[in-house]
Amino acid sequence: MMLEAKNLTCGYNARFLLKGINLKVNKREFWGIIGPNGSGKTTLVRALTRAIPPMDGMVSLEGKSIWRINLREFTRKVAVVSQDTHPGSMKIQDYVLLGRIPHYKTFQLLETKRDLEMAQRAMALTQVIHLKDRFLREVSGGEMQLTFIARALAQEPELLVLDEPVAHLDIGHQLRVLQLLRKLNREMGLTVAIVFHELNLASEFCDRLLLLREGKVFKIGSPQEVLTPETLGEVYRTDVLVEKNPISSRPYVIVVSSKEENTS
Amino acid sequence: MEEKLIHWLIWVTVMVVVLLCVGVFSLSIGSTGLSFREVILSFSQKESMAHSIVFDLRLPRILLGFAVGGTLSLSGVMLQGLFRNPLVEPYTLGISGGAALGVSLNIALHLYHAAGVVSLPLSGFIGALAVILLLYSLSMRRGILKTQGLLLTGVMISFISSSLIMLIMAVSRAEDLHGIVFWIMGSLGESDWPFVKLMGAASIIGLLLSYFFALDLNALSLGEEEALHLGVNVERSKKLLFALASLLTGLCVSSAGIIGFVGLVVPHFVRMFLGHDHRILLVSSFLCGAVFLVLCDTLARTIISPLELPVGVITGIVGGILFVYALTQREIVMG
Repeated sequence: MMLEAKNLTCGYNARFLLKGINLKVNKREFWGIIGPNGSGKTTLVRALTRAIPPMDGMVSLEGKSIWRINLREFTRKVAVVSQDTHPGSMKIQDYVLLGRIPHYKTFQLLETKRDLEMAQRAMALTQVIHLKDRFLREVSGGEMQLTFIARALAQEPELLVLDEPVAHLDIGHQLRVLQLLRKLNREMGLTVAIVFHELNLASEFCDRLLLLREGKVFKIGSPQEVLTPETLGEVYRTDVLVEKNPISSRPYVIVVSSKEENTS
Repeated sequence: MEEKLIHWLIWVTVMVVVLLCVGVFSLSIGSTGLSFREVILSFSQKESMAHSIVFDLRLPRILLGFAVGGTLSLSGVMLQGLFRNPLVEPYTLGISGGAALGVSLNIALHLYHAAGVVSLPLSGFIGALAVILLLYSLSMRRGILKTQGLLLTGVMISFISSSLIMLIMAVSRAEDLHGIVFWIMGSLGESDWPFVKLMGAASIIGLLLSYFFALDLNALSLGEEEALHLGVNVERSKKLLFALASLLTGLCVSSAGIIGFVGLVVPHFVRMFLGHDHRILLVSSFLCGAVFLVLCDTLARTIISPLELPVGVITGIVGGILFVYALTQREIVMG
């Protein structure tokens, strides 16, 4: 097992945003984190990646509390692509090279040949290498997201955590980003955890889903186990139908806009 | 990589050459004009008139100008990176206000009669230090330095101290008033050798120390949480950067008074030409700031010679006009 949370509780002042989260992410798994707005998805990502300290409970990486691991060492193992990341004022290559900072030695200021190679490789994998001399703020949303992922890959992580990486992308780019992540997962053994809003994308790509409600784990399981009309109806307070995707045989969630229309 | 490094080295070499040329140029002009040859000869002819002009008057002043200009501009880069705000300059945070308040109190209460002229920069530094500590303690929340709050608090402290200075000026006598105004406007005229050496050493140490944070500043330009995810110990870097930049600013203000615009204009210009990488930005801003301030000071002491203009007036006018011109020529985007 790679990443584990035990009774993880987080919050600000006396307000709890996460309450008693237990989860175990194994190596090479592809996780999706889903839940309604305000259910604590982003807070969970932050708590799992050392961005906010827990009020209670603990998170451990390979058996060691993440707060006891040296920060640089942690960022060599876990890379994060946050929501609404700021593009800065850099060229794409310079941006991706920032992902090498965890690998820099003390007093090292300039990137080594290996740093450059790893950045090149990350840009090649995400297919942004032809843009390397463009400014990040000038490229499209899809290319920007691919660059964020390239920066994370340049860290050479074992676990990659992404907070809504496809939320603002068109369906073509959504698929390209997720297919890339699946390829990295299947072929290179990268463990992936993604926060999703779109349930059908989560269903298509994830091995395991974690459904949050009001800061608590509501259900953890395969897409077939989690994406049921009963569960979704209770958590999202809305009526849905769940069919089988004819191509992938994964659950496919259909939103019911009005019951009368549906029955007629 | 080698390509980038060579590019950077060429720029730094060019800037160092320009710095030396500006130094010699500034040594040679003044109320007594000296030729380039006389300046060079003065280094060996210890009894000559040129020697005393160069070594007692102009050289310490120019060196102080290099140190103060470089340091102010270096502090500007660090603070702009730390706050991710291109409009922050070393004086925005009220550090200069604190220093000016310290000096004004010293002058109005005639403390320097008892403690000597050395007490003027000292009281300025104590004032600056008081503001730094106040700002720091007001902006700490559970071990986290709240940068946006710190910025606003700094601006407010700046306003409060300038009001207090006006209050002191309103109740002081005419000759004290002159001393306060003269000090606030900023000048490189008070440049004794021990003082110049202190400031010079501080500026070089400051530049070297700033390089511990060059990569952190690059990462911070993406935001504090992003920097954390890149392995930067954000809280430690923020605190140390704030401490370093504000102490350097405090030193500058106490040795040369308030010289505005250097810390704002110079980093912007350097960014336009060399980009946003702090590994080159720090040293080039330092060098350009040094050149800019010495050129402005040369202008200030020659333009209505034998009278002198306050150098802060020149940096404000020249810097402001250049900045507006640059803005109209080219869009400035800051990370």
